[in-house]
Amino acid sequence: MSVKVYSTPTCPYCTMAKEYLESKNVQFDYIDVSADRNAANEMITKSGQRGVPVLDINGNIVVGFDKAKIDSLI
Amino acid sequence: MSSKPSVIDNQSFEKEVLKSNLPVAVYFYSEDCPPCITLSPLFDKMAEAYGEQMKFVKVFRQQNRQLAESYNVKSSPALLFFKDGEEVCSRLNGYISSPELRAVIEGILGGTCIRRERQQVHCDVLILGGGPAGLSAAIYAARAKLFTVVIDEGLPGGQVSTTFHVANYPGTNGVIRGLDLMENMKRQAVDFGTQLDEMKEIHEVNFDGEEKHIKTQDTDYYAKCVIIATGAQPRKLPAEGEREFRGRGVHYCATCDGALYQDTNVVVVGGGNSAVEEAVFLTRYAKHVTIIHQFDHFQASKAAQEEALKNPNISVIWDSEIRKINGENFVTSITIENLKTREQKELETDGVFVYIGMQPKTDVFKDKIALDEYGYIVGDEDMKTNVDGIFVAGDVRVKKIRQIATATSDGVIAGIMAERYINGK
Ligand SMILES: Cc1cc2nc3c(=O)[nH]c(=O)nc-3n(C[C@H](O)[C@H](O)[C@H](O)COP(=O)(O)OP(=O)(O)OC[C@H]3O[C@@H](n4cnc5c(N)ncnc54)[C@H](O)[C@@H]3O)c2cc1C
Repeated sequence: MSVKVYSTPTCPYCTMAKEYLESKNVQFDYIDVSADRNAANEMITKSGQRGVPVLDINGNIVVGFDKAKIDSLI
Repeated sequence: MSSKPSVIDNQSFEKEVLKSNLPVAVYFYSEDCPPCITLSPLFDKMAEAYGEQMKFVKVFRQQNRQLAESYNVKSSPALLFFKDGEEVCSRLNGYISSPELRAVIEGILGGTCIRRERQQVHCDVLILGGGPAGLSAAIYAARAKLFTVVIDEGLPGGQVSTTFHVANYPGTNGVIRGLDLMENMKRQAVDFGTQLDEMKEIHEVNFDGEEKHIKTQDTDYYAKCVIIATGAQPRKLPAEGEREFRGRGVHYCATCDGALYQDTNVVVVGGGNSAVEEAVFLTRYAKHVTIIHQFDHFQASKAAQEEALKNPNISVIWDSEIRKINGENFVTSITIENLKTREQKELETDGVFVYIGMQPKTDVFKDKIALDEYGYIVGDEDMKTNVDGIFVAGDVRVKKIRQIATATSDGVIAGIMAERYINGK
């Protein structure tokens, strides 16, 4: 399974998403889009919007910390 | 067949419960749990009466946390029922009465209760909303040994979770992260025995009569007393295109999404503390921030104003409102109107952050409780509403100052008054 979490350092829902995945023992890449311009563009292209967090779970895009959707994909 | 419930654990669960030939009632209990003290003798009695047809087992929750969590059991007591290796019927939580328990058992034995049904929770104090007001009420109610449940439609924490730094909450060092402050409050409430149910959207409330009934999608809550602490949410920008561009240039949380506006030009709408403070925060990322305000002066505190006005990357357009948001996929410009001259002009921008006040979250309480003309709940200085047994706390109440410290203060009063209300019955 490949999981990416696009986030910013001050965003509370990103922290929640990260902690939630950790509690489920899911391995993921945590990408800070405020420090990585290419990653920011990648996230905007994938999700069609600029809100964080965005999760990419095996190619499925989840916008926001949507727990039910995350549960259905992991 | 033994007629006394046996105590089982992680290891024996599969054999005793999932592989059992008889249906099984599983009782998760813990120490220091007032509703467990009432339930235990009742469970023994049921085991005696129905022990021939059904197995009764107990699990000490604190020593079998993994097992409890795997069934999403977060509080004691919790009664789960299994048949042929699968969970059936509704779970029971909180204060469980003899007729209720008997009804479920007979439903299983009679074969009328085969599917998983709605969960039921019986509690002393039900708190709607897990922001600072709701969690403070929970700390007091749970410490008074009342069985206290907090439900939140999102994650507990409220508005503070989206605030980067909280500078003015007494007793903190002035740079505490909103998220950390709320994590502390949450832990304190849970450590005193509060049950936190997150992601529960309220569908219906019934405040008539002694027992209050609140329905969510999957659970029926019954409570002796209810504290409403649902807070407020940002007022949406009343401009054409707002809905269309939400998340694609229109945002309500700078701490969340601000970092995606590196080296851009953004606009902040509003003139209160939040607007002015968040404008300063946004200069970490944006090249330039323009504040658009409907009056010719700010309502924000002196300190906040000064910080914004001395920042070379912030400018202000006074006496103006946004009428329209323009763009293709993302926002590229806005149309603003000067309220004095009625002149309209277009302003190029990459993002709009909106801080134009709050609106109370009281839609589900309309016609159930007294609201003022703006939808805030009317409560007296003891946090009592016009309905017996219903209290209110925090931003959702009619009041002048809406801050974390006033929300926690309301919560403390509501928690204590709830205790007096229940014990005075
Ligand atoms: C950007 C910003 C910055 C701020 N900065 C500060 C500051 O620095 N210092 C300060 O003192 N104050 C600050 N405030 C104000 C402070 O956050 C609020 O006064 C405080 O959070 C109010 O607490 P509350 O518990 O009444 O409501 P909220 O914090 O709004 O919490 C309400 C909770 O109820 C839940 N809820 C809502 N409806 C329902 C429903 N129907 N069912 C179940 N749950 C529901 C919500 O999900 C939420 O978790 C700020 C506010 C904002 C927006």
